[in-house]
Amino acid sequence: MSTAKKPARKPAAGKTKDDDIHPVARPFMWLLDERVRNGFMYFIGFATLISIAADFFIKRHGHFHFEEYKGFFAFFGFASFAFVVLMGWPLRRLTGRSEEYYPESTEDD
Amino acid sequence: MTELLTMPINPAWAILLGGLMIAALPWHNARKAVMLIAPAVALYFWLKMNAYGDFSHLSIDTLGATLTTFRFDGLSRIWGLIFIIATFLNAIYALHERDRLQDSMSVLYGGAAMAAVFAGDLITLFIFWEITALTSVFLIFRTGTAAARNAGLRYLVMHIGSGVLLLAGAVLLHAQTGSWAFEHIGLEAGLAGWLILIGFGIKAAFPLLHSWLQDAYPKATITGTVVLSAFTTKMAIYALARGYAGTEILIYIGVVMALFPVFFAVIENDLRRVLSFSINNQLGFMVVGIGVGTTLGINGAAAHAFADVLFKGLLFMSMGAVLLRTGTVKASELGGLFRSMPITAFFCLIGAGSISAFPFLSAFVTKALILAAVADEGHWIVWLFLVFASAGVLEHAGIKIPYFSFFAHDSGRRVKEAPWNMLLAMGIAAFLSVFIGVNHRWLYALLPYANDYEPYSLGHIVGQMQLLLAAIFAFALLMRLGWYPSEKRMTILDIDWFWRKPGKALGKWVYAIIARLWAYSKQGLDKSLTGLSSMLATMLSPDGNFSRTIPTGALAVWAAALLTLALLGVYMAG
Repeated sequence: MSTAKKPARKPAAGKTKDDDIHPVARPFMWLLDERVRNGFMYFIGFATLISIAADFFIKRHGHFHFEEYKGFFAFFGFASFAFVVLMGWPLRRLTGRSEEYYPESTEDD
Repeated sequence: MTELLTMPINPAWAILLGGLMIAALPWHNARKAVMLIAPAVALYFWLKMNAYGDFSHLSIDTLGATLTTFRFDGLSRIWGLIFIIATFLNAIYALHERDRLQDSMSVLYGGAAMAAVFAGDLITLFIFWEITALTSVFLIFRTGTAAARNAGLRYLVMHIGSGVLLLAGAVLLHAQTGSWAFEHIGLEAGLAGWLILIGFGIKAAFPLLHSWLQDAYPKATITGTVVLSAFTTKMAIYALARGYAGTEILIYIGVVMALFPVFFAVIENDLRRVLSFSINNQLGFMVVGIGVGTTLGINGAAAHAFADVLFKGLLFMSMGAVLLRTGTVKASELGGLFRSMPITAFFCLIGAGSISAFPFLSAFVTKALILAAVADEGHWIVWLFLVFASAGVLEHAGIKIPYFSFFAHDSGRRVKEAPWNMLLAMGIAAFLSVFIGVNHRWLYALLPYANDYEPYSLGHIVGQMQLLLAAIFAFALLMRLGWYPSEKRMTILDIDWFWRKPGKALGKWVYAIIARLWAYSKQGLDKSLTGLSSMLATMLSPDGNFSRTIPTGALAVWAAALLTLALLGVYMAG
């Protein structure tokens, strides 16, 4: 039968958490650095600006005229994403219940 | 002998036979070997059929009907291939498990889905439609919890119901047309068309009929969820493409399907449930393509179904590996697993990029077909909604899944990387997702209709990158501002609340009323029976009235009165 193992392995005595880092992950640990994480937003913001700037150098042919507005997809993507995320607050208030809301979830076989 | 070798063979039989063998074989290694060999044999038959071209003549006459059990044409061909690939990947993914029931059911389930896709008539379709339900439910039951058992029962009710609607519609259709053939049905078939559409719609998780998916899939076993994600819903998409291409209502149903899950996925804490919402969302795109019904629309639905089996399977596989190693897929309890499971994280990122439609990954070349088909028909509002839904896909499947499990804050969990077989299955799925993205002509050549659409224009790449980069920027900004809803342990209610809470309460109330009425009527019946028996005893017992000696004179008077009454009755009637 397929069941998950419990619980997760915690560091053994005398070892730090970093001793258990997978060898493949080690060369990429800089990605988890606090400064890199903080700079991510600026990097992506800059990349977005570049992609918008590209609209001034290439002609995008769309099916609809509004597709051809400069930066249309960037604006639409940002607004859509923000709307979806921000709607999460009222939706969670409306539909969120405790984990034990359905009695079966706490039944122990 | 030569005829036997060249005889067309339905690839599904190789899988179904394999499933039966796995159920019977007592040796673990032999069972695993059959799990791998069966799809390989099916692929051989598929390649042979592909060399033949269209084929739809394998018919049998039974019960007064001609059943076409094997139809290999442009539409069924691509679904058959992806089901073979999925069966193979699932077998690799499950190599570490020792569970005969689950192994056999997952293979039989894949074979039944394939047989349904190759069915040329509605009876054959119905039979395999129901077998998919009966076999797949064990993948949910096998988790062994009360929640899984109850979810499995709800799943079974919905899916058996879907089959019953299909059968009822097929019988009505046969009464109208005299044929069992599974061709275009459409809503012009009247009640029959509606019944079959709803039957298909249950399995395709249409809005309001969808809750079985988010209810059952996250409660299935680790490999069970991966297997389930491949077959049922894609089989339903095939059935819609075959029977309802160009049915306009599907455009609007598909838009709702693509839209509503993205909102629920944001607040869902169980990452396998997030992916279940994601299935619903991607199915929406396919349903829209079918609703548009042009050759480009059907091609788009077929191509996206093919790609979805791979990238969605890949995402479920990565979450399955996380569940296996950590014991949870709750976003609130994960984070930082990249340190322990970097290879799984990498494959998960490929899946996330594929579903988000990054250039050179699979959905970029498949979703574009659907959007182009919608735009070609001038449905600009539908088109805008689908682009909106694409940003939503990036949120839940592109960012939320990898970010909250492998990155985000470090949960401190240090676990082993996924088993080699899981990594291999993920690696193949990831490779195919990239391969399709780069070699889109290979996939386009498999589509039902000739396709000269070119997704790689500079304008398309720039537009898509704008959408994705700006959406990722929105994520980073909202996280920085603290406006992103934090992950919390909770139950998110869905449409099934109506039958799991008030519906259940109503059922209990009705049961109590019926029980009381029964008790009351039983009491009344008992009283009546007691009265009747005492009356009969009074009349017929040795001491009863009929045994009494009645004076002859009185008897004669009574007899005369009764005869007079009878005479009057006859006279009046005459």
